[in-house]
Amino acid sequence: MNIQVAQSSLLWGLNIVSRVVPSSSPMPILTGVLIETWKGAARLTATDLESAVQCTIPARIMQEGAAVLPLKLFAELVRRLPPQDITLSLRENEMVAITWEKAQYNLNGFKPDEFPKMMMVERERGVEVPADTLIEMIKSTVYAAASSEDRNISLTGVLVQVKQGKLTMATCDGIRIACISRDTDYGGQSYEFIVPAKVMQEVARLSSGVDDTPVKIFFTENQVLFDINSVLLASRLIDAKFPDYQQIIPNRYYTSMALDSNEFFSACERAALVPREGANYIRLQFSASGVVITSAASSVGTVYEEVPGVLTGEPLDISFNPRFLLDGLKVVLGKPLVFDGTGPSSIACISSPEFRDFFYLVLPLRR
Amino acid sequence: MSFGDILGQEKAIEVLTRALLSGSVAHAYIFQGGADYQADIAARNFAKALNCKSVRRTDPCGACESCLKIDAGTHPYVIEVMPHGMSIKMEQVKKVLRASSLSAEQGAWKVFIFHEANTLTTEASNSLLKTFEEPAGRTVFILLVNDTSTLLPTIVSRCQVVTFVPVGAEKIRSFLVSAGIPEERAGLLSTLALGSPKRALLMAQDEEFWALRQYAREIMESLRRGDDLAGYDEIVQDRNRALELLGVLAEYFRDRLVLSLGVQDVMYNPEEVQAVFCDCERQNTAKCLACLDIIESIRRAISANANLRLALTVLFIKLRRAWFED
Repeated sequence: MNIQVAQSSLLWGLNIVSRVVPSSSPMPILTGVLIETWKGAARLTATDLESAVQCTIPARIMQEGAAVLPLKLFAELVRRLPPQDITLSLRENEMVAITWEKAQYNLNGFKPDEFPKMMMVERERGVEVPADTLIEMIKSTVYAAASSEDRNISLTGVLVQVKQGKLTMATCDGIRIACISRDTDYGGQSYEFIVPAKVMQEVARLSSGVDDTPVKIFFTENQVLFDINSVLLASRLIDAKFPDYQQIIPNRYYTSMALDSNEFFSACERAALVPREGANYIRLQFSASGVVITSAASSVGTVYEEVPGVLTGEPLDISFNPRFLLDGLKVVLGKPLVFDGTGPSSIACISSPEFRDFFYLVLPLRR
Repeated sequence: MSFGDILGQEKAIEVLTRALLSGSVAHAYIFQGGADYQADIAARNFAKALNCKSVRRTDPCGACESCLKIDAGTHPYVIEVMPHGMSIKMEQVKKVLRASSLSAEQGAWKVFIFHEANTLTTEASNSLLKTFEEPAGRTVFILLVNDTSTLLPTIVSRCQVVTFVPVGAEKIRSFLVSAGIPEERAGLLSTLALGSPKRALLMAQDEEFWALRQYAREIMESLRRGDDLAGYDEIVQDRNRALELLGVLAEYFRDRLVLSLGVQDVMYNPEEVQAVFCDCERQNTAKCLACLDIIESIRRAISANANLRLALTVLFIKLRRAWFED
């Protein structure tokens, strides 16, 4: 391999792929970036065996080939190079010479043949989603995925359901469920798969830079590929069964209150400060005049705050772990909010008429 | 390496090839016998055969992309776990369980090989139970252990045990000779390696091992003649070498004991014993046992951090008295 690339585009590419690379790994080659010539350009790939990121940068190809360099060191070096063209050429024993002006750095690399292949090529089934819609969907759900694998491994991912004309994402960690649907022009067969939550966060991050280009999502039985303005992110799927969350959605609510989300969110956020040490719950009492928020910690103090609201149905006295309540409220912040309850010790729902096809179900604390 | 290169494990290999041919692969195996009897090579080969891209179904080609990556340790679905420090920890097992729950390419097998699985912590072992109980498709766990009794019984009952046995001396001898080891060394090692071809080969190539044996013979010679011991200062510098030296001495007295009981055919090393003990006609069972006791007590003292120079001095004085003075 012998190629010439601009420092700025190389740095851009390395920054994109560096997110999936572990800083240390029992498999040293995973700390590397695969650089290969591809259709007259240079393609960079990095993987942690769970997902892989790939991007293509313009390059002048003097000789085709591939090389694997330790990504962290290589990126550190490129960051400090002058903004001009750099030549990368493969020498003996996987060594790569990096040259510009009168300087030459030789870095030891890994064998490209041994680099794990993770990128999916098949692009049969897929759906296109505008980047901002995709980001909105991910941000509305990803926080409610379980952070540890102890309970059920499927909960550490985001369930993605593709149906005719509809794309749905759902997460659940045993205490809460977040779910959002959006319309698409997908016309094929229904599919569902679970993508690791970490990967979805990465998709949101990569999508935030692209303007109007829709993100293409391709999927097979065992892999999903996000094509985000030509940056490719492929991931293995979580091979487990996601709980049937539809079953948990209550048929009817006995209490329903319309609130100003900003006011209610700020009040809950303030009230959550006090009980941080100790029992850590905030109590919500819904009545005809609005909601009364109280909390207390004997070593810190007490809280009492009223927020006006319009009640339909029965009054309700319910307590929550403030973190779980605030996570759901954050999604509908700035929009009219509806709080629905089914009883003091059963599931409650947060939604907004202006943020359609989203709901957040959360279990209260038992007192 | 192919299954054919694994020495003297026909039965174990047959179990594995049959599983490969019939497609009825168990979801968890224990390879009893461990690396000593090349079970590690068998495990990696099994992983290669399951994932091999070539048409041969029982022996991997060793040349396709999948085989090469497994050999290089960079196959995305074949993961080998080694103890971190003294044990295989919960954190490592969690990573394995995570990897096992991720989808794999069409037709690929996920294989997880635990080296020295006897070092799994109890917590880590327990976290494997549920996965062993509800096997996912095309996933195989292989635990390498010397002895199944070092694993939790709940683990053992969920695995198929494949036993790798000590290899016969004659097989090891011809294996060593074909590996270019001189005939006389090969003969000695075939018994000293206790049925492990791997250990035999390591010992054969370890010049220090041979130097140590030479030194042990010199010590016995000096003790017999009552001379000063040469090379003494060097050996008292290195605890491990001193322990190895005790091992060689114990082996001599063990052989001499066997000889005195008249069962020559289980001796490790008849020729060397003749050279070391010039009095091989005499019946010295009691003396042999006394010397073995001395060596063992000194070995324990050295393992418990006794002063090396003092311990060895005591050893030589006691051995001389017990063996050479009537």
